[in-house]
Amino acid sequence: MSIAAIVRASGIALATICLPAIACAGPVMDKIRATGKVTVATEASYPPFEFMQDGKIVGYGRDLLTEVIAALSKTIGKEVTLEQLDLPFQGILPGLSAGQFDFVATSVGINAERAKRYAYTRPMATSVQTVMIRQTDVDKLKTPQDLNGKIIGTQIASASEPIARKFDEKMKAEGKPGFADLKLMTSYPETYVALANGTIDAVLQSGPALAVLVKARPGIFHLMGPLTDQKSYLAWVTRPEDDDLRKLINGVFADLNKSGKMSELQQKWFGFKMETPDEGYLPEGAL
Amino acid sequence: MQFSFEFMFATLPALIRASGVTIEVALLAMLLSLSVGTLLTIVRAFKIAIVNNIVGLYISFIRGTPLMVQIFLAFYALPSLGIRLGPMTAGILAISANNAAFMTEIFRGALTSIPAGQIEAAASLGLGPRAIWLKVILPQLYMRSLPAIVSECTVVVKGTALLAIITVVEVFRTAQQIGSSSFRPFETFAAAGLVFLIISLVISQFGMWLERRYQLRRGT
Repeated sequence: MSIAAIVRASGIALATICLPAIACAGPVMDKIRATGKVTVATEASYPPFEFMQDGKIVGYGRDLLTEVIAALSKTIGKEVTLEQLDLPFQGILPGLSAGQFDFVATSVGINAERAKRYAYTRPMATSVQTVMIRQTDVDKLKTPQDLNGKIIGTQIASASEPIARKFDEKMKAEGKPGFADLKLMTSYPETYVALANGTIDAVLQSGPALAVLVKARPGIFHLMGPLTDQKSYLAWVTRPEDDDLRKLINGVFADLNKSGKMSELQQKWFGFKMETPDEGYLPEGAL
Repeated sequence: MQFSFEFMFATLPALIRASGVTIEVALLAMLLSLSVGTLLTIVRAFKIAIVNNIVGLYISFIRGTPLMVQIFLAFYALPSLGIRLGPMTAGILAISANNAAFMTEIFRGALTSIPAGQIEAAASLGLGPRAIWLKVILPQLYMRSLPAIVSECTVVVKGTALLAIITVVEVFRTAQQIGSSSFRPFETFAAAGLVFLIISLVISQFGMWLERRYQLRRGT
């Protein structure tokens, strides 16, 4: 059994086991007020959103978190200390349900399936699922249609996975062969290695992160462009019962967007700005 | 992608620093699993049907499910039963519980290789059960199963890499962090492998040294 399969199997096992936990976890704002401490989960391997530098978590998301913590301290009237945990993405949403952290400050793609169980904040980045190929394939793979019969890789349980599957189904419905295979790896960096060594032919990930990678390692990878023109939003996640915390974070994000601070931070970490909406970002049936 | 040895060696200091966590978890898990394994071996020798059934059930659960799942359950599912453990505690307990099952089985094998005549002789010399276990059975048990214990200990060290999933930042997670922010996962994972290899080598060398020592004691 591969690690990915194990993670998935345990995820399913947990989904059933953790249901009572969701019902009995208390409101997190009271806990923060009482302890003066907030525990946040981050997947610090997603540059430039959140990654490790000199032993510290830095990035666009970390800068936003500083603002949120300041607002949180102001709301409850005392200094809140932050404990930021780093863990692989597969543990992040189950851990939130189990009450191991207070909220998730990592870039989580908004999709309909997740929005039914988790409370998304206002988005802080916009992305289009983008295809990255090897520099040497630039002449062979020009449009997403050229990916027929090719092997695509992405991160398991990521926002990219359903989009890749949908595209594959669409191609098959049109009578084309579709992807030769969809390889799901435990993290994006593994897909980069797989792409470089020829195990897969293309990587699917949100655009901003890939743009930074292509700039950091020139001459190896090439951005083909978006797989579909469907825009998706990246946001943080709270537990459904912590609506007050979600409103607080939404307020901070909306203010930062209005004051121009958010685009300033985007310019700093990505080198370009993104439009993020104040409303209408949640799919139907979302919490 | 070009493999850069220079980069690989440059990541070693950070990984060696992170190996403190790996070693701490591994040492505690080894001690705990050796103790629990010994305890269960003694408990099983009493041949109480219900107890032995429970121990058997425990061993078959542990052997039948992946360590990854056990770690996941210890940290993410126990809170719903009202048991909230920190990541380090949950991780050490999960690995210990896993390893103890294998230790118990190793000891079971070693126990059958001790001639019954020895125990009968000890009993007829007037030794109590406590003395028989401590002076006759256990020392031989450990010596006979030493190679298997040592190999289990290296399994423990490698098992700690799975703790990344429950927020324990050890060698493997540190490698992931460096690999993803530098876009050089190849070099960092090779370096992490090297760190694990060194720790395992130290353990296996220590095991060899112990074996030589006991061989001298046995006069073979």
